[in-house]
Amino acid sequence: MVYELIIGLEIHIHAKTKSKMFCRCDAKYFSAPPNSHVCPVCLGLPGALPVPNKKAIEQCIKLSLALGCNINKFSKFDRKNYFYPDLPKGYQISQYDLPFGYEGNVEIESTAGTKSIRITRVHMEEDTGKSIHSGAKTMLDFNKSGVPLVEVVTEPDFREIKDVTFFAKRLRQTVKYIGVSDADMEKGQMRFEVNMSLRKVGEAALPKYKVEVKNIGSISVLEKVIAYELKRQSELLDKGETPVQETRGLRDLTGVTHSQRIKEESNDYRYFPEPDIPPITFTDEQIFANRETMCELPTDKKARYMKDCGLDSALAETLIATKGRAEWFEQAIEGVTDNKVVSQIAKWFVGDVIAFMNANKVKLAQLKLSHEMLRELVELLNLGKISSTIAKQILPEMLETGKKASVIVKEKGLEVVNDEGAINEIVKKVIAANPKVLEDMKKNPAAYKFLIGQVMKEMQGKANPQVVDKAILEALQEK
Amino acid sequence: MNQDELKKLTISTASELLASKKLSSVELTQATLDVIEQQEPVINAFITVTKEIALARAKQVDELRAKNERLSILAGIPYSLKDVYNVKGVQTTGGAKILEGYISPYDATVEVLMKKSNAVLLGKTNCDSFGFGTTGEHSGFGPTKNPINIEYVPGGSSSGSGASLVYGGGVFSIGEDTGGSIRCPASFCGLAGLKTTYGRVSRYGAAPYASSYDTMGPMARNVKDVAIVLEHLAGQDARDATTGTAEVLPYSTLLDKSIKGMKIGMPKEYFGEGLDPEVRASMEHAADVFRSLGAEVIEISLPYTEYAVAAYYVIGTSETSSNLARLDGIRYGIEGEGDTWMQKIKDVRGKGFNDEAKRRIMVGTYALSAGYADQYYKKAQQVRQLLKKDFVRAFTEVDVIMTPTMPVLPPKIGENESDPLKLWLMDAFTVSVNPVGVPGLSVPTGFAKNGLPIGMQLIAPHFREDIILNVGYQFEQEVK
Amino acid sequence: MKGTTLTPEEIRHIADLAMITLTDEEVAKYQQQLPAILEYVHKVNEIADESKGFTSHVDLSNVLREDEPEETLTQEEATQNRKGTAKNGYITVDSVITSGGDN
Repeated sequence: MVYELIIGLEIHIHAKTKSKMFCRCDAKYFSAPPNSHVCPVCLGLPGALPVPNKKAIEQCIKLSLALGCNINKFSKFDRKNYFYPDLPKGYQISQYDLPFGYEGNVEIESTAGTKSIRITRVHMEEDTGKSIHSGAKTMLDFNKSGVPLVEVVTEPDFREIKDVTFFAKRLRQTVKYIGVSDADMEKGQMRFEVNMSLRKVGEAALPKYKVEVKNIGSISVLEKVIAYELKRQSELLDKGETPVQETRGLRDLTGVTHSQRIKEESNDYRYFPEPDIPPITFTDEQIFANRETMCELPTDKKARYMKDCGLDSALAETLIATKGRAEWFEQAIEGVTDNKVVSQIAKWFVGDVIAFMNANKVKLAQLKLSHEMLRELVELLNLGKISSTIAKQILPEMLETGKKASVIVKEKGLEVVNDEGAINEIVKKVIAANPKVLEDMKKNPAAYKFLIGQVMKEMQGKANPQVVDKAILEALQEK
Repeated sequence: MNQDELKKLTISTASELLASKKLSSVELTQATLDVIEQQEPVINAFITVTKEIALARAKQVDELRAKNERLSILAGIPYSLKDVYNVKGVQTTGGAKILEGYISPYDATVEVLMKKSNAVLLGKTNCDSFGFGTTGEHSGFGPTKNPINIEYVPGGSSSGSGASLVYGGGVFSIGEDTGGSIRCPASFCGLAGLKTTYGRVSRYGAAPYASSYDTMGPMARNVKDVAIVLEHLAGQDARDATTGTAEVLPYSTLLDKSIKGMKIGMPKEYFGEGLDPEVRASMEHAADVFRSLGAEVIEISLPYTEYAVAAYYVIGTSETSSNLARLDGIRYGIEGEGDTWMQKIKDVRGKGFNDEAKRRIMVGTYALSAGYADQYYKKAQQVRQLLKKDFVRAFTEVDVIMTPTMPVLPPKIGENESDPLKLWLMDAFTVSVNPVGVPGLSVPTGFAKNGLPIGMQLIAPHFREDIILNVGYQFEQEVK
Repeated sequence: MKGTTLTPEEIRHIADLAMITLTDEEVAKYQQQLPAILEYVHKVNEIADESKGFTSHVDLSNVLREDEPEETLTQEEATQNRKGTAKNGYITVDSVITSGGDN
């Protein structure tokens, strides 16, 4: 039987800060020696007290606003009580009923246009320590304990796997754009939890069970997990069984999930307001200021490129991949009013410039090609001064040397040759040298195009391709 | 200096002797250590005596004084800390077996302040585990006795702080008060003891009982000494987000004001049937003293008093059940035994917590648990706001509230073992103060026929320690 | 809430949540003591609900810290209370992974 997916996501994101959430330990813990970035607070020594990091809270507010949330003007922290070796206080300071952000909304691209994903809440909490398993022991490193996390929870609005991955990618991109996190997956700076159940197509009510899979460290594994659970849950439902409502975990990166058999009752977290931290309040002015100073988000930027510049979805998507890249592009098209030209600049940028950067491991900041240089190249092309073959040829030199297109063209005499007489000469030569083409043309008239390439080669790419094309056709007609 | 002199020594006198170099800090400290050594086998007021640290600090002060360095009034004065305060390099147990052997890597803010003033740390005093107790009988390191009469309790939970001062083992002590833990031993030991306003003194580094009640405060031989120590402890701390920004007043200079015209309220709920007749008589005598000083003594009412103990214990046990969750034997303290990590945690907490601690943790866990949190924890918080309103309204009628500190005379050791609820109810007069956060000073008012001391509690509005120190001082001077 | 009783299972459940091992004697003792205590403190329910939701116990708000790191404990200090069992700077516990397949 075919079932409908009902999926909700929980994403934990490391907020980018210098110090930890509730203490002044250095938050850059990733490759430090174990237990070297700890203090009485994050080590859970008796008597230590938490003091919240102002910047971390600002990061949470920024993300809340970017996800279309309302901000709770009166908010607080709460204790979530449970025992685990990597949780040094025996409770995690988190937020319960008054999260910083709530009731937001995000539009994602889906099969039938756009789809709305409701954001239940965005809240702030502290991370736990790290556990490394080594035989019969678990080794504990509390460097990660107390690092600030922003948790985003969505409603179970996802119905397709690709919507989940789109959302996850866009979210990662967004947090990087607004500077809330580096979202480096390899450093565990963004982790997913998925809540998933299935129902018969056409049913309106939410399923009576929900399976939670925790600790997913990458979007590709997220996809695999959903695929695995889809199969596993479908098989159970086909047999008439209801999948057990439980938390499942991963043991590897294959997407296979395993039951963790934690008793339901032991999850009584006994939430109560954190008495060591006074409440947090926000004014309308502060919220307004945060909104106003936020940079343009990737979704909005993409929509603008498509609407205002007429770029297609794929091209726009590539341009917004990083904020730096988008900004470079925007500066390159500054003052350009013709969308055709904008599109050309975009294609050259995405095709050749970025390819060069990737191949030579050059960063945008190190690029010797300036925005003006790219504009000039396209201008020369559009004025018919150089051919596209030549343009493609000189761009690498521009990138390597920082020389303008006009300079290189002049130095090497690469202007387009429009001289029909010169072209006709070469055309005659090329036709004579390629008798087979005349034969091929009997079956396929378009075979003559091969000759264009030969002529261009003879003329070092400088010939005007339209003139060459016309000349060849005329010459062949005479034959 | 002999023990009799040490038993009476005040900060003013000691400071003067040290400043005039009639006595060196090392001499004073050594004499005090000798008394401690002699008394401890019977009284058991200390868990750890920091002999080397004490003598090193004393020596350092003497050297500074020889160079004519300007020193604090507390410089060279021997003091002790209740064993809830972290001291770097020293064992801190909170009075509980579960923390035996825990060597702290950091100083509590209170200790940082004492170090700064160059006072001399004698050691960490015994206490009921984590503050759970009113008598000093519930420590993981044996009960403390009252040196006035060793058959009786010294009061708790800052039992060692009180007892050590009685026998001359220090000039002042810093205790901790969550529901009466400074005021009760002050009353049972004939000392002055101040429960400060919540947020007046930093809690950073003090092993917690209840986060929204805990206060740090001085115990000493007279009100002036309490005021002097308070000046050195009060103030905002960046490491404690609940410390207020209220101005720190020069408390020891505000004691001489006349209290003529002041209104002193005696809440009728604190003078009901259960009050010991000798305590009642002592309070009435104190009221007469206030009248003779020109103050007006009137009856007031704090109607929510009957709910105070219940609300106090619900919130207190709830917060403590969470605060003590970090004691899992993994990073410090005694280790657990068992086949799995879970078993080890359960084992260490089973054997490391005493009966009273386990009882409170269980009540607190229950009060926060699913299905019960609304009728226990949440409800108690609502009552708390009403208790607060009682006091706020009372302070529009009077300047100071006066009650007995304890409803009973100091009981004998072992008297209340079988009835835990009865012990909880003994705190009735002190527990209402902590959920509200106002300051309370216990001042000796006299003695019972059996020679044991009686004390009264003076309560002022938030951050008005100056008022009760002034009233307490005036009373003290009058009855001297 | 008259006549509150707690069964041994309920006592053990509370002890489990609090991660405390109780002996059989202790279970019996708390089964006898806790109901009276809980019944006594339950009297807070005699007060009508006038609450407007959460009220902080302090008149403070927005007590926040600038995002500046400072020096903290050394690895040695952090592990000094577990010198015997710490390994290469890590604090060790018995494995938190249960062995074998789905259990």
